[in-house]
Amino acid sequence: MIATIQPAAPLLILALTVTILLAAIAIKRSFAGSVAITALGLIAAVASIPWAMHGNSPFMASLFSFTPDSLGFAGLTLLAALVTLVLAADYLAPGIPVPREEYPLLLLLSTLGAVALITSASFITLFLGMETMSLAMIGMIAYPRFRPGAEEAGLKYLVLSGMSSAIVLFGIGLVELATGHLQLATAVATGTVSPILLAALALIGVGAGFKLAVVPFHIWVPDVYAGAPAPTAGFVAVIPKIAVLAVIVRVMAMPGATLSPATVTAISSVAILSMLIGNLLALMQENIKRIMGYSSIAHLGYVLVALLAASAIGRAGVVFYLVTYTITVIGAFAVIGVLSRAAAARDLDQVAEFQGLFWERPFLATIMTLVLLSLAGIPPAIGFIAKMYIMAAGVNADLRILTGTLVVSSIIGLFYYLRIILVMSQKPLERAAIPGGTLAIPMTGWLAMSAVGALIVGFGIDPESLIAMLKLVFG
Amino acid sequence: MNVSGFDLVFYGAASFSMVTTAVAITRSNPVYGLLNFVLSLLGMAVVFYTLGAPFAAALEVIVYAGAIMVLFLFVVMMLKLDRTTVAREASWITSAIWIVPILLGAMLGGELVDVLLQKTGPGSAHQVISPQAVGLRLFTTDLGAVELASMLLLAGLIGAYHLGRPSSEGD
Repeated sequence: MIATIQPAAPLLILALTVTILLAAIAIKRSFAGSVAITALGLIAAVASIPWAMHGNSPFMASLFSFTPDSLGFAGLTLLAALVTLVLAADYLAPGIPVPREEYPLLLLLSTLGAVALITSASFITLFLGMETMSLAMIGMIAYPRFRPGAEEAGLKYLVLSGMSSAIVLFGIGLVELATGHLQLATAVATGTVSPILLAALALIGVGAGFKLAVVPFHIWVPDVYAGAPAPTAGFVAVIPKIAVLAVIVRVMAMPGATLSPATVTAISSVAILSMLIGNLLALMQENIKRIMGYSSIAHLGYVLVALLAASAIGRAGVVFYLVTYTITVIGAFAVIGVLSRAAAARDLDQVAEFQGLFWERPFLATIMTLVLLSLAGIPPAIGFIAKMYIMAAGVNADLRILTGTLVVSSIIGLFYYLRIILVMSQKPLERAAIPGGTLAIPMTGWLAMSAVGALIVGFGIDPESLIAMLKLVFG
Repeated sequence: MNVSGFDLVFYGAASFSMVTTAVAITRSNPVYGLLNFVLSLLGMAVVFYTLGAPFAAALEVIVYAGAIMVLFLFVVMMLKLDRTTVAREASWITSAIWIVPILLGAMLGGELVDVLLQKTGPGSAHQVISPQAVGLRLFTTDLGAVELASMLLLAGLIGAYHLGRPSSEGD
């Protein structure tokens, strides 16, 4: 009995935690209790992953594929969700005019959807997982509904996510029509390229583009990131991207999966546009959340370069970059998150408001600097190694235009990353308030920040340890 | 080419759906648009039936055309409850407005009658999927998907409940 469910342990633990949390909230509302149950559930799910990897019997093989690499991506998702939870627990301080217990529940459901999407073996679970992930996320984005900006962001995400889901569903229908299969592996293995299948691929690609937020499907990104509460913004910036890329990486490794020249051209143009437009638009922003939004567009463009390299080093590059991206983006929103509270009218997210952070809160400023250096790809931060990996993959596969665009757009990116560091290091204005005012940062906030900082520097100096770990999981 | 009665029903219902959907999205009056959309869904139900999926056809009629669209109609109608808008709406729904839906409805009705008269069973070229087969799959191989769908609905429910509850509550 235990052996049959062993590979699915993380997913089942998440589902179990959802039911326990629902029951707990129904009996007695307690925010601390909800956070504790959610945290325990997430930790248990992470802890079960090594055990799940040793499972031999397939669990619901027609719907789920619990391979070591899909479980590895699931682990990354779970850890990101755990950090988001820690940040949100401080961020949703008492005094807001809405109950707070639903937030951990939505976070848990969204993570469950992401894990289902990552481990999906069939288009049925792929779609259901994607919808669960997105629908719960809308609740998280609009959670402080007394903020007009949050409500607006939630509505925008609802409409665009609904539209992209409809497009994906149409594509899935066409795949079924062309191949007669809803299983990912068998649909890929048919290998025949018919016009219907190409149309299906295009439609599913558009849907994936929305979730990955690459140009030209990026218009929602800055508004949603800026309107969402900081911990949610970090979650939205990271989780769907891990989940969708995990599926793409897995499908591309399946037998029979080849990229036709037309597809390569399409993905290349998306990558080039994302890298350039993301970095150029970020130059003109004054809001750090919007900058992070545009920057994430550019970073997904970088990932697509590694994806196109379609080699062992390209695959390793995607995984390594995804881990780096997760750590740094969560770190950036963590700094904004610990300096903001849900009860305020808005988050502390203007670049100018960070002036003097080095003088007043040196630890936070150090973490933010590490995050920005990592995003810019400057040593000793981990982002340098990640970008080098992608460069190596690009050069190795002789993708000249793509690699050239990567270099040019990285240089453009330097400007806005370094500008934030410059503003932070300027002396605080005499009459202006200290960033974040007298806000005390709780112990858990410090812990999360220290962990992010340690990971960025630690893996940046000693990438071998991370590479060894990833090799173990992703082969 | 040998065109069977079922092909005629299929193509008839499919073009009916397309026409009504086109009409639905070009109307400025939401009530009129929604009524056309209900017809389009009924047309889709016939398409499902001819393809050998009577269960999906029944669901389409009961859930989409029946429950969801009627709910939509209620909401749209409740949004304009003041007297001037009611009067304006009444002026919209004239007898002329009913002509096209009635014609299209008659077309669909005729097809249904045709199907009933033939009595050869739906979808001669396709495998018929009985409600039992659907139920069996939902409880065996696709059980995980059903559970996942329940989580999806739970996520939607909690999100909607949180965003829609009165603001006086809470701590």
